[in-house]
Amino acid sequence: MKFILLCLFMTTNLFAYTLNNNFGSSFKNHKVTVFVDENTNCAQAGMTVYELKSLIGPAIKFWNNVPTSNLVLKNGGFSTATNNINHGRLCAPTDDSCINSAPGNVIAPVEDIIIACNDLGTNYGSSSVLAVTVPNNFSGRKIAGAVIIINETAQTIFDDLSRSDKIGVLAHEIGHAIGLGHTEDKAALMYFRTVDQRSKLGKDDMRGVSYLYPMQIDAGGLLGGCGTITNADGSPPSNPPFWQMGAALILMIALFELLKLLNRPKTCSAA
Amino acid sequence: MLRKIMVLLISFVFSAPALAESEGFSRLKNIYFNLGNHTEFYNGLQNDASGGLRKIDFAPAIGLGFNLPIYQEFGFFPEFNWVMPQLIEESNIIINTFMYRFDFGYDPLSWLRLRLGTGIMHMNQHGRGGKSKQRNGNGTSTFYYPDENRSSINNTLDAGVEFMFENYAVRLQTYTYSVFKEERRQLSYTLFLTYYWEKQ
Repeated sequence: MKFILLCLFMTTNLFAYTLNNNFGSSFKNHKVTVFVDENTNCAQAGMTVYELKSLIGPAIKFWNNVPTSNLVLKNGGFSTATNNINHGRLCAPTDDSCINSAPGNVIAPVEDIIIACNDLGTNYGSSSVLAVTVPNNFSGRKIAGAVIIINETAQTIFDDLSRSDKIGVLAHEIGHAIGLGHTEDKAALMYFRTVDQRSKLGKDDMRGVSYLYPMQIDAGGLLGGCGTITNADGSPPSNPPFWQMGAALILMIALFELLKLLNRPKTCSAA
Repeated sequence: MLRKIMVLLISFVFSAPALAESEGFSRLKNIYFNLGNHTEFYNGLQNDASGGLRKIDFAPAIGLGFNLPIYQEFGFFPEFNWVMPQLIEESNIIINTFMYRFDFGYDPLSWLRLRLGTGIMHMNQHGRGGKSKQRNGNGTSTFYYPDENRSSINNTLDAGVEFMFENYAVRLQTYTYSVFKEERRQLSYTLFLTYYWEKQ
């Protein structure tokens, strides 16, 4: 019975979002700041640090416009310098072989998300890899910090990308930093390579970020009435356009009542 | 979970006529049943690799609602809709969306009803775990499927226009998410075919 009902109505999708690890880790706080390391050098990647910083705003916007997720990414500007971030090895905290392969040259654990350019070829494996992201600081099962490194080796192809592609790459890497893995859906930002044009998140991305950072609103606070809804960045909600909505409703009713009056059939009174 | 919802829904459908006749529902004008197609985040999601945006989706929805007259052409319309489970095949992620809605309706013409109200949009994702090898750079890496049950709950501002003919109606119902936060604002919609079951 259940099977028949499901077959009647159930729709299927071919692709699914994935997560970075088997325990579905996400940042412990749903408000995460994205920084550019103040000492980084991105000459090979074809940009100044100021240009790199200017990409953060548009990149985080992809993830900030999902209403079913409470994730809030903030542009933090420049961070203080992180040890070994420009030339060091990027390792996950549990990856002992990686850590042992570069004694004293492992990028230090960070808080929030730090972006830098890094010229150590071992981190990328291939010149066609544009960037790599590793959450390298955990608090229990929650992410405390992640590092995004942009390929700054002599063979990098990052400098060949258009500005919008660079934004897309950073947004994709931020997706890894917040806990998402790849998907096979070409429409999704978390597809493993850049696509012709990237304007919004795909359905998989939206669902993935909603799974990791689900929006939870007190149902008693309908339309913010009980003060239970705050803006996603924690600030108080802006004044709701109640009077415009009310005026539009009254105007609409008046208009239809007028139409009804005009359409009323005329009656002749008998003399 | 799914079985419980099915049982609840089926018992709603069968008990609706009896409920309508009961004294407590003496003000009830009619009960209605919805069948529709739901589209999530109109123009808010990318649909293909060339930047095209999603305008229509295929997601069947069913629902049940009540018409409680208030005054002359005005009525109150609480309703419950269920966007049928969407299964993401390989991963076994099942996504259910439930809508708990409350509309005020106004009938300016005998064949036209305008609705304005609010609703709670409840998107539930049920993951069953597992892993997948995905392309990553020039090689492949192992990524993981979700293994928990999680829900997103949103308030929406809802507006709809309904064209009625005899006991049937066609309705375009919209739901605005994050009304007061421009950056997150999104619009979803459902096209409904509705049957109004008149109380005897």
